Amino acid sequence: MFLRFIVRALVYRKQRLILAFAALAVAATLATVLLGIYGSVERRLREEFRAYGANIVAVPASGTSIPSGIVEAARALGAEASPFRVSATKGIPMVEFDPKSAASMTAYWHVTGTRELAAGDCLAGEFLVAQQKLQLNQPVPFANCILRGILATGGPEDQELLLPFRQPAADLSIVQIRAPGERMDGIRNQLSKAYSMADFRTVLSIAATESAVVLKIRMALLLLILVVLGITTLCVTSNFSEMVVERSKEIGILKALGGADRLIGAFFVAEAALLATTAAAFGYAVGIAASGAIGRGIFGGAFHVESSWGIFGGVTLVTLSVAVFATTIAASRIRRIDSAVILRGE
Amino acid sequence: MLVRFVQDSIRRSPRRKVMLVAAIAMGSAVAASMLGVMLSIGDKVNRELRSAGANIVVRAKAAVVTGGVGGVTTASTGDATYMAESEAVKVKSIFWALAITGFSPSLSARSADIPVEGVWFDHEYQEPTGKAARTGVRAVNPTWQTSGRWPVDDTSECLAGEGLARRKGWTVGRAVPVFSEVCHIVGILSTGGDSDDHLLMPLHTLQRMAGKPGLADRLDVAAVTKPEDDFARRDPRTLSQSELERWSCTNYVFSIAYEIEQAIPGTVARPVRRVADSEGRILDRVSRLMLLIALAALVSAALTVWSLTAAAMIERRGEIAIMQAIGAARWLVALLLGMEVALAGLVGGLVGAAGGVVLAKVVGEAVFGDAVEVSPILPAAVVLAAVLVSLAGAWQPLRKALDLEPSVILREGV
Repeated sequence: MFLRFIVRALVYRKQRLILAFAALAVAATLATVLLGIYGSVERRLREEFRAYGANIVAVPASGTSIPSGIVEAARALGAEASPFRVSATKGIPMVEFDPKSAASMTAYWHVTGTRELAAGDCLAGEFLVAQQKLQLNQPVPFANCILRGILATGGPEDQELLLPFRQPAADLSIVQIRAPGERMDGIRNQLSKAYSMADFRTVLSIAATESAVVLKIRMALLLLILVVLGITTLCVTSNFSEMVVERSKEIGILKALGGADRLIGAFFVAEAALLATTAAAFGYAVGIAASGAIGRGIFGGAFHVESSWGIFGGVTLVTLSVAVFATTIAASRIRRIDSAVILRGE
Repeated sequence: MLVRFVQDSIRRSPRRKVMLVAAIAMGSAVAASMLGVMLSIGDKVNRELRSAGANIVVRAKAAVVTGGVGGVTTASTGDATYMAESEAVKVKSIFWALAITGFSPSLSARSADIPVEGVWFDHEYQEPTGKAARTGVRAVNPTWQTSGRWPVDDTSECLAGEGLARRKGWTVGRAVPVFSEVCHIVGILSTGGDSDDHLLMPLHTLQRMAGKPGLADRLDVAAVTKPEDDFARRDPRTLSQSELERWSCTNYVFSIAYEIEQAIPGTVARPVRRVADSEGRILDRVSRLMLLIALAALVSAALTVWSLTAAAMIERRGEIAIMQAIGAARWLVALLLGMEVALAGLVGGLVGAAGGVVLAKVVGEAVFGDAVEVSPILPAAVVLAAVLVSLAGAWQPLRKALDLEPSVILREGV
């Protein structure tokens, strides 16, 4: 009987039901999108910061070289590492490097020609090319290599010759390390303990900028989520209150037939709960698809919305609480409704 | 007659009208706050990214050739050429002067085996407008850390990079020989870059010691820029007059560098790709993220307002039927109810837009410590949107009610 009453009430008031359902489903969708993006945004932003290159640089603490074991040690700790050896030939700075491991660390290099280097190929910075009058795909007289690319970075690389390691790198001048932002200090400390002959420097300009930007974007998102959800909740609450007020006549009839206030209130709350649960499931499904699409649109590639079950639970709880809370507040008016007055049509 | 109808309608059921206006206000507040934050967050994040250091480096043409990787220099050779230190302030006379958040000329030298760099720490200069302002390495590199304190410009105080200090066993308070004089170390500098191996001292002091008065060999410039696109990468020499104007009037790192070269003849200004490219990429991502979230919030706000005005109109079908039954024309009924909904949209939109602007400022203040700038066009657009969305929500149920026979609605109470 209880269930039948609720189902009949929903079926009979189809149009109003669709509007209330739409309001709740929109709130649930929005909550899913915002929470889904919020959960993944830090990881994705930190990945974007990889474009800045190394956030730790290893250089000799004393002497002129550091052991090549640092590269493997850094990789074993989950960081990316790329070795460099700097020397000078006839007064021209020459840098030997590993093109493969350096590629992700030096994504900001602008190369005219190619940066895919085989043995015997090299790159030269744009200033050096101009100064030494070098030409693309022509031999470089002072280095016994063919110039395959001209480099523009705005940094010291613009003035030097870069070529792949000619012999296995034993002693290095610099190791560039890109550690995941949140584990950077731990990795730096571990490496410092293991290799006291090297100075592991945190590139403050990059590390501090990354922390500040990630923190602020997360905070801005969180505050906006609170604003949006708060306002949406108020909207849904007013919608549900209105639904109860509109049905004063129905409540008057139920009371005249002997329905207790508590039972009538329970009808309304159960009706709202059923509506909210369905809307939450619908809104969650739409929200997951939308946040995936938004994530792909912004960051490219696959965008996985994390803690899906957690988000689903949260969204259902929020939607259910809002609907039940709003109806409970409105249902408190039931006691004040006098069936005689209502039935007289006043 | 029209005004009296609307007044009576509000007087008859004020609570219901207040609920409708409140709902529209809330939807408008979401729209205004999201748009307010979205439109300014790019600028805020851009300023945060400026802490990554200079994004333009200016050198004299045919300057010194140095070697190194990333921010670490390991060798230098060639004959140095110089620019006048006095030319540095010209970066504040270019069209994009307001986008420049800091600049610092420097001079490199070697005293025995010590690399010494003369810089402005916190130097006072006169802008072209005559206004006094301050800039230097501290403004260009806000992430640099010192233990001790920063040196005062034009004194014999100096700052030792932590790598250099460790190798030499120097501490704060030590007097170290530089050329034929001494400087007093007042702080140890940590940057993670080249400067960790340098001794930094006031530019004028080094110029005097090295016998190069009024000269600098490098100028670092930090500017707030727009992310690079294909148009930004075009060579200005190949652009038509109108294209060049458009290119110059956009704060691309290239157009700012080009203007600096024009303002300081004999120099080469180059974007620091590591900083400029990366910040463009991050700015692009953040702007798109905020745009899409704002769109999601706008759609939901519009749907909420639409559904509420539709519901309000459905409730008034009986009223519409009575009006039609006593001879009111369709257009008159539509006009009367449309005016009422538009009024609710206007009042709700005004209240919501005002609240949304306040919320946007609160979010900006809480996150960036600086209230966001909200264009006056934004609240006006939100109010207009609130009126239009309210009317759109009311349109369909109103048309349906007008299409039905009044007798059917009155008999069945549909």
